[in-house]
Amino acid sequence: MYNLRYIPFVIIGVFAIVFLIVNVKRKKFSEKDSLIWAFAGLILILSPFYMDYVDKLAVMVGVDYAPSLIFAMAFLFVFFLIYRLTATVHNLNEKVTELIQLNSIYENELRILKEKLDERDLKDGDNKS
Amino acid sequence: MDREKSLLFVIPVYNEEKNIRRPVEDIRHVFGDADIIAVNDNSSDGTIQVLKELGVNYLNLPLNLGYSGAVQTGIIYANRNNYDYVIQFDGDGQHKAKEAVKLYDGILTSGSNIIIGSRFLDNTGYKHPFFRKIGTALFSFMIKVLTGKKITDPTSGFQIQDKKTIKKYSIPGEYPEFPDANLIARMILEGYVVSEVSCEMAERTDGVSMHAGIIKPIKYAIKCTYSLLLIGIFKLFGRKSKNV
Repeated sequence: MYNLRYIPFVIIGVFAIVFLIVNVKRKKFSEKDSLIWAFAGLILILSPFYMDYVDKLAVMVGVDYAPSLIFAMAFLFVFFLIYRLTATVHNLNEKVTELIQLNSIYENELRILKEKLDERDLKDGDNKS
Repeated sequence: MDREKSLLFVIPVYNEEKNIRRPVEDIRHVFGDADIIAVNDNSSDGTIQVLKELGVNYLNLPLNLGYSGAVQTGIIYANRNNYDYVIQFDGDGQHKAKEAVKLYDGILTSGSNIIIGSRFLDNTGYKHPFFRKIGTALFSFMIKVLTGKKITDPTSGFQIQDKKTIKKYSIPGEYPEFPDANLIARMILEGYVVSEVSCEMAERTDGVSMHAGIIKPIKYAIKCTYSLLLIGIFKLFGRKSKNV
């Protein structure tokens, strides 16, 4: 049964998904990363359909106050997101380190090549004169 | 002994303008025209200028990567240029070139993949601060438990590595933030032959150590212990540990 009390959640969910789609279209957010947020938006939109079941679930798992269960699930979701972000930061860190290292090696090779070229130019100049 | 094999000294430097002359001149005095690569870890002082004056080949990191990142850059350079051996040599003047001869001769004759210059294998008179002594003993004990091998100086940065190790360390992610006891344990468990030779080392005269202060050594000890524990857990479940 569609419960009208949850309409604000549906509106927030719809706004979140529209905001997400606009940002993906503008290339401000990647398709891959938007998936999990789209999923979160969808959970909000569908909230009127499952809220009654949350009450039942809360009773089943021994939670006296049903909204606490929702908070617990939201916490888990946030922890999962933080874990994913930490892993992403680690990957980026490794890539940046590799780029910095290779950059310094290429800069070294370029410097040595330039020095050799300058030396050769000097020798050519001496031979001509 | 085949001393014709190519050897590269990797010297990580960070704000070592007052110290760097000594190790470079020392290496040149003992090893003649040995190849040296100094890895300038984005120093804010005149280190790079001193390196230029000395005519030392150098890599200039555009951002500070820390000790491990700087050393690994030198090892990647060695791998790209096909060197047979790399000696890690600190830029603060603590390592002595005459002791590096022992490392080089050792790796040519012993068949080891890595040889560590140990301050504690024999009594070299090195003064180790009390808390570091405890840390060294703990890491030494943990390596012994994990690998069955006794390493007396697991925190020594004075090492020589062969080509196989150079290739391994050049792979991104294979050289951890603190490349000490944890790395030694991992390498031994992966079948690399790690040994030690007794080496004298001097005290730092100028500049700041990477383990200076209170927070840094604690952070280092926690991270290193955690890495060793992970290696132990991976060993227990029969998996090769990576990136620890």
